[in-house]
Amino acid sequence: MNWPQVLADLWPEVRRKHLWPELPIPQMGTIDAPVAMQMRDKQITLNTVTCDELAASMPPEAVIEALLDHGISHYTRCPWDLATHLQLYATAKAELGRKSLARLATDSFIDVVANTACVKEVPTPLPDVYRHLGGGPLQGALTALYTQIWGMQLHGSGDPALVRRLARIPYLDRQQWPHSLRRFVQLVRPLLEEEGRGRQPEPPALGHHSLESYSQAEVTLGLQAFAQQAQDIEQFCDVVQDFTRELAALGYGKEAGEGVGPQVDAEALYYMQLAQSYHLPVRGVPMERSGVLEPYSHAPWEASQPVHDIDIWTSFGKLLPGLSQIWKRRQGLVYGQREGTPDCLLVLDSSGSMPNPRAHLSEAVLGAACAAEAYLRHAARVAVYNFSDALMGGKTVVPFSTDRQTIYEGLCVYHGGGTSLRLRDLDELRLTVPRATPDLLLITDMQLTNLEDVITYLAGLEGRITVIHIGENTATDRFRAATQHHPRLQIFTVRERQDIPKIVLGQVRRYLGGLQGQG
Amino acid sequence: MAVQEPRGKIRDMYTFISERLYFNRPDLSVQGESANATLLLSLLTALIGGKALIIGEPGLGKTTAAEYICSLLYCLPLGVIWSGEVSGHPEQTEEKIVGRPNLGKLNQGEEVVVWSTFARLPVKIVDEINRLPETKQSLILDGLERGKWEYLSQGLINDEFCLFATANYQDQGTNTLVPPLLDRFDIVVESKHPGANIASVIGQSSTRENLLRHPDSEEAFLGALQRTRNGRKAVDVEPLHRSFAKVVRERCGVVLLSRAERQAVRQEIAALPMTLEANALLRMVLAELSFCCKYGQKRSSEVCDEGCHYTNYLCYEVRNCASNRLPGSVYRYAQALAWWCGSPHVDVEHIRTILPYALAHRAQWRESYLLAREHERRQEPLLLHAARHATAAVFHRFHEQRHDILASLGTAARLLDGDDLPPPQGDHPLYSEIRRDLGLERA
Amino acid sequence: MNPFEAFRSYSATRRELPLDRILARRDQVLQRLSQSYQALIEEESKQLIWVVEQGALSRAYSTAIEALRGVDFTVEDLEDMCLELDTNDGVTTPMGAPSGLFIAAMCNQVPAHDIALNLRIFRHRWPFLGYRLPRGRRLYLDGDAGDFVGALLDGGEVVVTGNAGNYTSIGMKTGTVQIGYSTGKYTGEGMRGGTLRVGGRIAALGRVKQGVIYEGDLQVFPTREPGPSATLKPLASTAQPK
Repeated sequence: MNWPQVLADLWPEVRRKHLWPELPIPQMGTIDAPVAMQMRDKQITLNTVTCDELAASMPPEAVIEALLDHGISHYTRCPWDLATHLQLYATAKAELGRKSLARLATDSFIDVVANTACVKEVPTPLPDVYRHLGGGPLQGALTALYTQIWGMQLHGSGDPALVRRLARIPYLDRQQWPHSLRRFVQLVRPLLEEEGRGRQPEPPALGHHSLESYSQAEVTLGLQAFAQQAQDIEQFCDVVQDFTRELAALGYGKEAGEGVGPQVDAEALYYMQLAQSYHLPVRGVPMERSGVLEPYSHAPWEASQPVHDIDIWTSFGKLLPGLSQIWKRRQGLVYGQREGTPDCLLVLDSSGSMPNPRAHLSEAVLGAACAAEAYLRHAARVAVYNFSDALMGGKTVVPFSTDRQTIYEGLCVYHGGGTSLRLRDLDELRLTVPRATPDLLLITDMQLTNLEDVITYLAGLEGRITVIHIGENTATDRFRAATQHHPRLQIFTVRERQDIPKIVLGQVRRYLGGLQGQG
Repeated sequence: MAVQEPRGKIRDMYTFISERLYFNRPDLSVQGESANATLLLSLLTALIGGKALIIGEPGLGKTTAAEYICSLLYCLPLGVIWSGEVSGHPEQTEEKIVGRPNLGKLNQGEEVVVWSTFARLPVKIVDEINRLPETKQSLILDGLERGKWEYLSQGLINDEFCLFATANYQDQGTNTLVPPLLDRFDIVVESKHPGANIASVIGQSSTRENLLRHPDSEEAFLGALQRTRNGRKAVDVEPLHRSFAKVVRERCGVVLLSRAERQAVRQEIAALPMTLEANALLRMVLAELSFCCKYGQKRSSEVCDEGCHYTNYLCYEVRNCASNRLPGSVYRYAQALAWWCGSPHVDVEHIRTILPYALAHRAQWRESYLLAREHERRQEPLLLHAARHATAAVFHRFHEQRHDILASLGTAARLLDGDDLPPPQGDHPLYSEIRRDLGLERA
Repeated sequence: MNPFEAFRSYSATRRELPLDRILARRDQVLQRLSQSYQALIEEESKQLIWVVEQGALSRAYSTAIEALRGVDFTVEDLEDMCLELDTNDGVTTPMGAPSGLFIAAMCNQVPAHDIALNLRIFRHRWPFLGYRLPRGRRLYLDGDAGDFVGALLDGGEVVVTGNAGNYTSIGMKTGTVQIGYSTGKYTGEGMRGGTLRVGGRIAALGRVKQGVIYEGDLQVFPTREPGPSATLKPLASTAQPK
């Protein structure tokens, strides 16, 4: 069978049917897994083997059209975008606990939604595929479900009571998908467990849905959105870890040792994605007035205006109102001086009194992450000094660099011990900067055992210093009193941890000169 | 020999320019066919009499693309096109752009206007429009609003006209194109670098311009234009057009359109109907670009609150309100595109293809929206990319809700006629607009 | 000027699926059940303090039955209503005891003999499940139940696969209650007949009048002298009905 030709002939009509989705022309191929199709970076590939099998029972054109309808329906209707996909998976995982079952449940639910939307909205031979598709008990139940909700006899085999309950789920209401998926999982749980008993469950017959289906841009946006929507860092990390292989392949992984599989630092990724939503613009080269008036344009001369600005040549030698032209002058624009953006040294307290960023959302780490993003976007470098009892070795030092992954990993370390700063470490770090004195951002609850030394140290520092401390105590009063005359030191008291990112951004914005958008 | 139909002639012109004059890479796909956006949309601009803003780095063929297209479509030798071009620099005056007094007559006390070549020709090309002072930008765009030029209380009307304005990206010597002026352009396109391999071929071929130059024809045209300046009766230039068309046909093998054929094509394009889906999509876009639940409509001076119910729609991301020129531009160019594709009606795909080009220069996005797009992988300038992203987002929503929206619009039609039906309900801003139009919600 | 004129002739090309009819009916029935529930809550909210005593229970139950009159619902509707009550973000506002009584009323009114509820998926532990369950009905509760399970049982069969709370089978007249694991205090309080089988431990018996109570294989009420031929009746199956 000349499948590529059939595909090429059918594709324009299928595209028109689905309102011209922005997908490249699908292709035929051989897929290792026993699935009918796969989608990688929006490229649909149909499995020749499966098509041959289905063609034994259906016309070839119907096979291709049905599979294309299924694939396009996934692209246009469900799972809508990566963030929704991850949210659904998280819901399933919360119910089932097992990654493989959660994936199977999510894929099955997505299939039901996409197929039902397709059957409802466009004429399609997709039901015929399910009439001839084999599969285990789960697929049998889903086929029986299709029989009920589509009103077509597809010869499925499922418990009628189960199918009646499954048929009451509002699959096509996107706002209710999480709730619907939860109900779906509760009902088909026994079948899922049967599929997964003692082995890796088979993917759905028409293909499973992985992160590889999405383009790079969609993954980037989806991760950011999911970080915002996730219940907590734990949920985000749990889901991300389950997709480690795919994310690592997309460039979100970190270097692992030899023989070790791809790894993703999920907590660091969480803060990285959250910090993306706090934007500071990149400052362009400023323009300044030159201070000199130059001829700019002509305007018609009016009788009441002085004559010394008349342009004789443009006025054809005539002195007539409306005909004669005068010069309008204005100051020219010249390039100003652009200040380089200094590097930034982030000093982050991760003592026992601060929240563990890997267990809970830490606004201190998020604030530091926002600052890091802002400086990195301005092509500056960032160093991290993450400390608790630094004098006893409780510290993590990341030298000045532009490596986002390393910086975030440094921010996410939690020491959880006492609180003391080893000031010599800060000096050593600052000395590694060949350029201008770096800005210093210190986030702490100020319960430092060597507070006096810190005060003395900061008082003698060059460069801009921002101190954000959480809560009020005698130490903060002492600190404020000792540093009140420091010309370059700003102190912010934070009562609500949620305010930290805003305060950090405000200060960084002031440092980096406010906004000047690109032309 | 069979008479070639106009669409075929236009397509031949496109192919000829693409292969011999303006080397390019395709970056647009519509109905399975690839094309270069700058070339195709400029060709459509010339055909329907639109206004296009072509941006790009210096030396990437912004002006030459327009010149070649207009030369072929309007049967004018390249030298005549050059004579009518206005260069953007601060010392441009109304007299150089529009017209000047006949000095001889003026000395005798008579006000007679000598119209400029720019004003007389149907083809208006302004090179580096952002180097013109704002007053002169406004002068040109006001004149092109209706194709009427005025000087010293006399007027000149262009029966047909199109505008191509080029602009480099903002640098030290440029002014800003203010939003009211930008809004008058129908579309914006970028003239892109064609890639190293094609660029090297450009460098090796220096005789492209000669294909559309014909000194005799140019002299004849310019002489005819001179004649009217001197107060003599205008010469019928149609024979000159035919003569040049013959030269082009013999030299290049391209058959050009006559004026009558151009008019017929325009009428054919203007008669193309829009499908209901395309109509609904356009309304959906307009609703998202103009609606504000709190303030009645979008206004550049008013900021949308955080946590607004409509945060996920474009009305949250955009700062200004869509002008009434936007749907006109989209519709006309979508019709032209549909005609180009040989489609009997304007469909969703045509609307979706044109939208980014019609929206990019008009939308003023929130800073956060632009910053989010800034570092995404793209093949075009940020503003075009942002507009394309917005279009894709609206289309995604339209695809999901189209049946409900179409049904609601149908219900609204019957409600206005007095039928007793439940009013449409839905979350999208378009439903709110429908209810306002039905008098069910105060505007 | 009618700006919608072009759409007047639009006719939907979308197919109507049986799913649409199923969901429409479901929503309609759920709405009616919600209204019934609201009627019960409004009535019971008039009591400043809601006290579990015979008169209040009887009144609330009667109100629930009255509110459900004329509502045509199925077992699936009952399950969805339980989910709705559990979600706590819809129109319903669960009030512990009256909610339990409402569910019990639904169980007693639904045209089905076998009702199964998966309690594991609910956050709430409703009391009074199986209240006045009549003969010929079987209520299968998979998971842990709240207080007052099988209260005033009237001939039906209640099966709980997990634990039950306090006051299990209080005032039971006749019928069977089977608890897979343990019960709390006041088990069998005021029981007047029927059989209660507890697979695990009974925290404390209440003042049982009549009936039979088993703790594991041991009959604990009425107490028996241990004899050579003590009858050990095995616990009946707790298998879920089909």
